[in-house]
Amino acid sequence: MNSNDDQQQTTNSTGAGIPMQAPRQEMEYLCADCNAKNEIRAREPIRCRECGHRIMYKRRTRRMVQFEAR
Amino acid sequence: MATSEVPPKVRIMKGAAPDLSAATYQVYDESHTMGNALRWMLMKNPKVEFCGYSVPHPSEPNIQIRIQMYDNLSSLQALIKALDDLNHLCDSINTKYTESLQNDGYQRWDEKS
Amino acid sequence: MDVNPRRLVNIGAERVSHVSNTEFPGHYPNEDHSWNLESFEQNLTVRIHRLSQRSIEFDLIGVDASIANAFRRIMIAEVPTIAIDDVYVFNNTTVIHDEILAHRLGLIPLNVDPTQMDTLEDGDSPTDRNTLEFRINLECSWKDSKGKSTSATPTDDERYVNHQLLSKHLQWIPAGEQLEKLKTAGPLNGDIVLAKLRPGQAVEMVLHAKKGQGKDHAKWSPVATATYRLHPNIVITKPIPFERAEEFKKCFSPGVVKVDKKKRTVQIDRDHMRNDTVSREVLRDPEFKDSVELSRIRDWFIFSVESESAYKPEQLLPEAIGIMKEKIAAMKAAAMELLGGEGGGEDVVMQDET
Repeated sequence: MNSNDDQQQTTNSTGAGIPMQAPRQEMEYLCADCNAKNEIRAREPIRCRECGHRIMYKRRTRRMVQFEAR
Repeated sequence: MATSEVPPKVRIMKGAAPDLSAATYQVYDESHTMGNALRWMLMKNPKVEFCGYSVPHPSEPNIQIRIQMYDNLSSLQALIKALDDLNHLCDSINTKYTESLQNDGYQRWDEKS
Repeated sequence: MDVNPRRLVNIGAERVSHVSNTEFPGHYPNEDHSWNLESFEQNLTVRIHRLSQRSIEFDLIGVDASIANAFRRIMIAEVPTIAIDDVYVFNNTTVIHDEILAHRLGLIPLNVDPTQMDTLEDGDSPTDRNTLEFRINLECSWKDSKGKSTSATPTDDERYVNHQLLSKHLQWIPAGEQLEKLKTAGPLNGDIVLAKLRPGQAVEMVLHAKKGQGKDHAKWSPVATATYRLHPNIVITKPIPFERAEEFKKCFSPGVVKVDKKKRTVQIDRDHMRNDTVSREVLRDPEFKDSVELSRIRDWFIFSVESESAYKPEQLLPEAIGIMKEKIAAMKAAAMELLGGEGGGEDVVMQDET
């Protein structure tokens, strides 16, 4: 399966010296309860700023992933 | 894996008689479909003493056809004749099928999908 | 209909005998069974029995099993069709995993004439001649009313917009000459459910459909089934006692046994004999087992083919015959080449011997 091609490329190519990775942007998280956008920072409690829920989901990547329909 | 060589379609295997009166042919990219049909057509030839086929390994796309002839005749000629005869057989089945499709009063029915 | 006993495959209570054909040259003294096209054509019957939009039943009589089987195998594994083979997922937040959804997409039968397309060979790049592009872009959302106004227990249709990903949501993106050549392209059945969605979930994908054969993956097989069975042959050898006529009748498929109440006779209906399953139930009865002979006719093939592709069911056999002829031609060309190479050598050997 070559489904991870893209991700591998980005991680491998950093070794080759091509700056593929954009300056690290804040990861967006979605509240499991109210679906509000949140950010998680180090040494801060994981808590939704809207409703106070403590469970978050990571948003799915928008990178293209290729599959064989087999 | 660049351009890998495609094996020859038909190959005479080691151990064939010099006059080809007995030989094993390896056919690339064929299966029971052609193997059994050809075997049957070769056995219909009175000059063929023996004919058999095998698929040596299920994950390799090859078949082997063994032909032994009477009177030191060429097995390659017999193979070509069998191929020609099979071709005619296909034509006559196709003709009869097309005739039936055009002329016969077969039952037509409505099948819901 | 008295059938030549040589054509019969015998069916006993616990064994099947006389399975193989023996009509080869040299098997019967003073009989010529060498290949003869004229006598073959005289013996050959091809008869279409029933035909619908998606299936066909036809009889192929007078050929060997190896020939009938070749056509069956070609219909399943070597008649090409078009199916989705590459899936590029940009977004999929449904509960169906990418891999599973990609697999499901591959299995959708597409209504594209395979003769209008080329096969994408290894190393070729996709062009408008060998690849079709489809797109899916679907997002589920709430209906304004959320279904509350319609009923106490609203259905999914009343609550959501786009709550199902269906095969009809594939949008064809024609490239190059495709629009002129194909006119339309899409699934044969638009109502195949591929995924269920809830508000906020979305699917965004690009799909590439290619030409292929059933031997590479079953999604390219043009048929749902292509099977044959041998025509049954049932002969009553001793009269059946009329008192047990109904019991006798129940040993066979419906319509196979005719009971005449006026004449008090029990007979086999020849027109319905083909429907029998040859269950051998009749051979379990001590009284019946010696009064009937069960067999099948070795060279009478009842084909049943269901098309699940762009081919009409009646097109599949001619298509298979065409492919068989291509295979023969390819082998013959290779054999002729060998003949050219070996021809000189052969003469030398012959001269040495004389």
